[in-house]
Amino acid sequence: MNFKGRDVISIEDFSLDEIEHILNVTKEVEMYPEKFKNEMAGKIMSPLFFENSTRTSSSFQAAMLQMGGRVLDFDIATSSVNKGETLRDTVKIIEGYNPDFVIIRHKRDGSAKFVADLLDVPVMNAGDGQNQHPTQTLLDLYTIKELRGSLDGTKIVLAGDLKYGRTVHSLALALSKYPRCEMVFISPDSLRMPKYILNELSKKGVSFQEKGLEELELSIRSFPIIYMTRIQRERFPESLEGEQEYEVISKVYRLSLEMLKNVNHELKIMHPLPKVGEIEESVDETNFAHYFQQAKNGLYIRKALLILLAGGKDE
Amino acid sequence: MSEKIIGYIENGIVVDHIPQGEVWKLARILGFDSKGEGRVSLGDGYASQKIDKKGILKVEGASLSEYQLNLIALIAENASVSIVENGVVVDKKKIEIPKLMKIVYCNNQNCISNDAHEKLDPKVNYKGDGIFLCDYCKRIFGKKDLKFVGID
Repeated sequence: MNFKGRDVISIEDFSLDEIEHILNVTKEVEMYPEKFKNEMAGKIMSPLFFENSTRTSSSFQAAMLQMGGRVLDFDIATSSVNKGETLRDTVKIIEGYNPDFVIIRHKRDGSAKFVADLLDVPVMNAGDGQNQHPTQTLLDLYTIKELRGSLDGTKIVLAGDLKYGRTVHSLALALSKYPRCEMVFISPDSLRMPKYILNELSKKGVSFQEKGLEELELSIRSFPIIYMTRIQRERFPESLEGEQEYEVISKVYRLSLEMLKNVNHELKIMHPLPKVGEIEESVDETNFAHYFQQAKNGLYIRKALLILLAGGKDE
Repeated sequence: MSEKIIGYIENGIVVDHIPQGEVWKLARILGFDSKGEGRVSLGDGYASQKIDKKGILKVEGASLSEYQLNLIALIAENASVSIVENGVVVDKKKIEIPKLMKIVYCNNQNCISNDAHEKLDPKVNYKGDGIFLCDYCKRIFGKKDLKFVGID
């Protein structure tokens, strides 16, 4: 198994064995941080965040800095992108600074692959449009594995904006690599999981059901994990009808403490964050909430990937 | 009784066994609908032994580039393409959908390859069975969603 110099563009680029290896290295990184504190010494990471990001960009930077590496500063607000520079030109200029890794987040689907094709150094996709967010997916898998012990036979409810939410697309496809997984997709009718994802899941023989938001409460009584995502106002038309539809959905799509009274006490609630009201704040303090642990796992996953892409911990 | 097939040509091309209904689109994307390339004959709905019902396109005085042959393959994979000289078929062209092509757009409007500012060539893989895959965003789409570069 060789990770040195590879790009991380899509979770689909990795076999099940490779994913498991990444998760094992992540465990080691979490348990023995001291062992890796100089792993990135002399290495430079160039983050290109063309879209806002707090968690992802911070955790990539923290991963690099905690292992002795350095991070180039790229501020979209003052960059030449705002003067009309193309992505190709921006990337070619960054290449001239000889980074060891390039991390990109961009509004366009496929932008990370485009950048990876232009560069010889490893490129990591930190979210391309509505497409993929592989490091988020890996940290989601790592969290589920920590919670359950294994990813085989994972039963999970994915809820919220399933149409535009790249985290749910990637996670569903990643879980489909594991045997006996079952999924329930809960969303408003206008934000259902795209057909091309459902077709992929069908091809792989994954068992799934699609349900409306009103089924949220019932579903969490029978499934052990729920992965919530936020529903954004901008997904609905900018009309009075759009406003009303969003208002109705915001009221129905809310996981409250009250709803958790009748669930199995082993229920795990996950969320890629930020959450904007779809989970009642009081739920944060319960043992059901695992989203802050999930966010923390992002640091370990990104450390593990940096180590692997630099040629360390190969099998 | 055999059907009488449209138009005789002396020198030009014949595209036969086009799926019914597609001949009009094919003439358009090949540029034979408006450019005065020569005498153009189109027929549709004929009986065919290869496919259910077929269309046929004959163009007097025309030749076909590699690019046009690829376009024919994309619209009518099982069509036969003949080159006619002095009223006789002198060559049969083999057509095949290219494995990787820049002649069709990704059907995902948010794909980087559809960004007017970036001006990239599309890169679309043909996976067989009428399935296309964008090399950038990995979106899968079918034949009915094809949009042709420089035409659509």
